[in-house]
Amino acid sequence: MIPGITVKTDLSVSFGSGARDGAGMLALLLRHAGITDPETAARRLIYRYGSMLGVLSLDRRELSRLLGESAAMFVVLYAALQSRRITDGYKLGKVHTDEETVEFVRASFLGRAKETVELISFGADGRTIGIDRIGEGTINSSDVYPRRIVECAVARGADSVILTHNHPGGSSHPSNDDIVATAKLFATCRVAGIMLHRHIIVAGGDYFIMQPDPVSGEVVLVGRLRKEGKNGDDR
Amino acid sequence: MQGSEVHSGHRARMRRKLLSHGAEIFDTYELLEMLLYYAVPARDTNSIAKQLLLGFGSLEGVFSASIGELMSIDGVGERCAKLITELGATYPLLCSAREEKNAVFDSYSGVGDYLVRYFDENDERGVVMLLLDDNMRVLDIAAPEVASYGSGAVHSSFFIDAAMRCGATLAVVGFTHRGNIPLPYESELVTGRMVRDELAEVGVTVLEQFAIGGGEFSGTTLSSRLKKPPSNEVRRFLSGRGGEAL
Repeated sequence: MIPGITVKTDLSVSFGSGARDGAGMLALLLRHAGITDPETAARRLIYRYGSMLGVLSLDRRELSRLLGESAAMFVVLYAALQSRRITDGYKLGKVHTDEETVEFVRASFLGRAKETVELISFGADGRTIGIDRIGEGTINSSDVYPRRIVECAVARGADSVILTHNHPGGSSHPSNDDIVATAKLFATCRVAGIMLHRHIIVAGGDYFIMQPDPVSGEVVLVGRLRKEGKNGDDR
Repeated sequence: MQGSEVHSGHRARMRRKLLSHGAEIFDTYELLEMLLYYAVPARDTNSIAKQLLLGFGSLEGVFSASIGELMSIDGVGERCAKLITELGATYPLLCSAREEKNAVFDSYSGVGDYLVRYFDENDERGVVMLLLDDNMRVLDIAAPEVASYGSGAVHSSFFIDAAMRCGATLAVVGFTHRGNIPLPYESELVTGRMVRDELAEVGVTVLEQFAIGGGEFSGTTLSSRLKKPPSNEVRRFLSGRGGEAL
């Protein structure tokens, strides 16, 4: 039961097209999870948490409280397995395309309720040589991250790195603090002889790429990868 | 101990571990094993999960397999195969789902970018109002069925109704000039002033009105005759703009 929530009768006024698909998907999950009236439960959850991805990102305890342990477990498993089907295919020792790396990053943060920072390390030949969690918490509030990032990259023997973090429940667009932090981290990595190639922020199903200019260090707001042939980057 | 009791004890322990520590501590075959609990009662699903991954090479292979292919694995009945294929088919939809509601904005350009993407994905829409709380979280999205913002068909009552239902205190308007440059027409500025003033009467501050066109956005920042001085959040949002008021 979802206490305190009443279902609006005209959903089309409130929901964008994404949420209508999300309610159907969530109802499918809840039906398999054994919820008695999955359609109503899904509409209430979508209304309260905004989207399917918003529900998947809920804290496990909150999910248990709302749905019961068995259904909560199913939702957690669903998010984890959808993430793994992509992340399991992103192999160390291989050269990945920009699209593969972005898909991996998006899938990595699927269902994460907390803000986390991760690092992907690359060798001089472009092969992926490490995927490490740097820490939890907002990237621009800690002085620890620059050191941890360099430590991790040096331990891996990285030539270049991609930094990633998520904005649970927020927008993937970088804040001014995110941009400033990226510029500072680029400078710190450069001192250590490591190129901070990109900083990717993930929020829900969306992502945003920031790319420091390799010469000046100025942070360029790339946004999403463009279609093949139009993206100037050839990483 | 009976076989079914052994399984139910094991399943309860796995559930507790998952809900206490999260999915990251488990191998992929263990996660698949637990998913199969929901379709395979009172049987060891650990070996079924391992056979599935071995047989199809990867989790992606398992989720991409047909019902018939899945049922060729010992222990996988029709119910189990249906569970796997139905969940597997949702991933493309999941990838395209965006946080339309519940997004929290902390930059001016973030709002503009959001609106550009909104109109990309909702090409039947010409006008939209993002309804926000004091923390710049999207509470609702009100999209009237009008062709353009300056057509005279926009009524503030539509937006006021939506704002009152969700309890919004702030709002941002976006209107599209499909394929054209994002500069507002005079009729749109007139509509904008009307909408801003009428929403202010019910305590909703319209922070900005964005013209969207050609993948870009442009804010109009109409002169303000608000009854209350802007809050800190509003001031910060407006100060992030950098351009000149039209």
